[in-house]
Amino acid sequence: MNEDELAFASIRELGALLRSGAVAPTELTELFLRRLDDIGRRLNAVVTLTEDIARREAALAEAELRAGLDRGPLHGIPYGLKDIVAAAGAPTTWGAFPDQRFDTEATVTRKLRDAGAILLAKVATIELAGGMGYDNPNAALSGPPGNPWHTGKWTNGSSSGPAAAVGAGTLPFAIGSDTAGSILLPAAFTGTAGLRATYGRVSRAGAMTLCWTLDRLGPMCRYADDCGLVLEAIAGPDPRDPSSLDQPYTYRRPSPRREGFRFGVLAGSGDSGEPEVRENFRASLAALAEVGTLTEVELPDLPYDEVAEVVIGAEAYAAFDEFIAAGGTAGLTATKAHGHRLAGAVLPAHDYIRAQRIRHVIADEFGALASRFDALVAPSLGIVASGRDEDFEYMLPGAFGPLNFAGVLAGSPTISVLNGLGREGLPTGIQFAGARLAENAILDAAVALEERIGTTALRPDGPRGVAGKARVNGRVG
Amino acid sequence: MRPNGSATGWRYPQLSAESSASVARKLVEIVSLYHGENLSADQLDAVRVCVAAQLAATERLRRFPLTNDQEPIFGVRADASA
Repeated sequence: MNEDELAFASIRELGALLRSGAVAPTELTELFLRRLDDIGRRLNAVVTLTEDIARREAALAEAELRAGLDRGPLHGIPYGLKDIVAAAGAPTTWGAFPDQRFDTEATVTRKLRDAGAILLAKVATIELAGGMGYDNPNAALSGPPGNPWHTGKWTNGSSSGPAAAVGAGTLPFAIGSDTAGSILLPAAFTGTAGLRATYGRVSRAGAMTLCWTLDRLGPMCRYADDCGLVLEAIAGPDPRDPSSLDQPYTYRRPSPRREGFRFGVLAGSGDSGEPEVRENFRASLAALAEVGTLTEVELPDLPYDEVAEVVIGAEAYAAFDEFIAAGGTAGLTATKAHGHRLAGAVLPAHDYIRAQRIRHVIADEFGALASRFDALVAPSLGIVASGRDEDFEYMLPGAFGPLNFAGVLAGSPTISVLNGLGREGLPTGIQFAGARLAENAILDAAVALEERIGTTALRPDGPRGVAGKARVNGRVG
Repeated sequence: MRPNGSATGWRYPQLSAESSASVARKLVEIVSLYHGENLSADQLDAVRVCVAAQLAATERLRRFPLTNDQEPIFGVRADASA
């Protein structure tokens, strides 16, 4: 395998190479550090390279694997953390505060170290995970993030760094966060696999809070199977996070399913959006029909957008009340932020509670629908990536249907994976939404689709992509 | 078993467009009283837009019928029956 092939290899492929001795953890670490320092920085995906931590963890992993101590599929695999997740020994800027540090690391950081993974970088996030509102891609300490498939395009947010870094082959995987689509939407724009697991699957202790009842951490990888492997390592109860679940989670099973699925196809979801998005979705449905049944379904007619707006408006204000009230938002790059969250100052408590009562109805009704299927499917977004320098306020609202917010509010799992290329060679995505705790059903279905349509072979190697001609010439674009 | 109660017959009053606009103006004024010294004219415009959107959202939610015993979700229970 040459360096480019290594850079885009799956976690299982890298694991096999590590265990056969064909490549060492220290070699992988140096390869990905070079790519982060070069491609990653030019995409504005990197906040901090954690070289010292990386080299120390790589040397340890190498010694352990040589001695026959195998910590599992992530042992010796490099990764990055969205910079709202704390790691001891490195700043955790939340995309806004360059000098901020925490003495206590996040639970997810500890779990990944226990699994033998190697921390290479803190990667970019939109300021405060986009929680103060933003409509400009440059609303981040590290600048506007570039899309690996076309460096003049945006990654979407707020997990912009994980998406850019993984999509460009500068990290095998990263940890992102999602409150209302911050894993799913960047995954769709960058052709990566992003998993928003069941609320509570992954401890959030040590990560920035934006919205207590919605925040989730999750894996951002190149392929669906990688997401399952990472989730298995980071899932589990945590006394530091009262929302964390007691239920154990196992992804690796003797015979993962590749057929016999029941898919609910969201009515009308393939009829809007850009022509290439519609065409790729139709092709995906044709492939899914070979491994399962397709049934058209309607989402219950419920006020998803309004509930999300009120819940996030109240909780995000509360989580940052002193900062907002003292005028801290004026120091942010997000132009929209300066006035946006202040509306939360005059949001009555009873309206917030009413929103959470209606959310209960949403969770019950969506759960009843989702439990009839292995996955509900729809395009992840109706559009491909927008410009890196364009405000997107008037572009995005029409780009996604209600399935994202339904899954957000229900606390159920959703994964977005690459399902083809659209305008200007940019990725399109398909989302699989499942019932609570049913991650394996949507992961198996997503893997089955990837195998059928061959999207795992696609690379950002077009004329404006980081793995193509522009990179050979030494410039990202 | 707690009584489930009913919202039947009782509803939030439907405000006229004029009353609604008046409420929005007052709310923006309150924000301005609290935070005015930190806000430029553009930022105050952003507050106006967001307060209007928030009012529209809460108005829609106030039209959604609920019974007395329907509890807020707060923490989503992943093991709750679907």
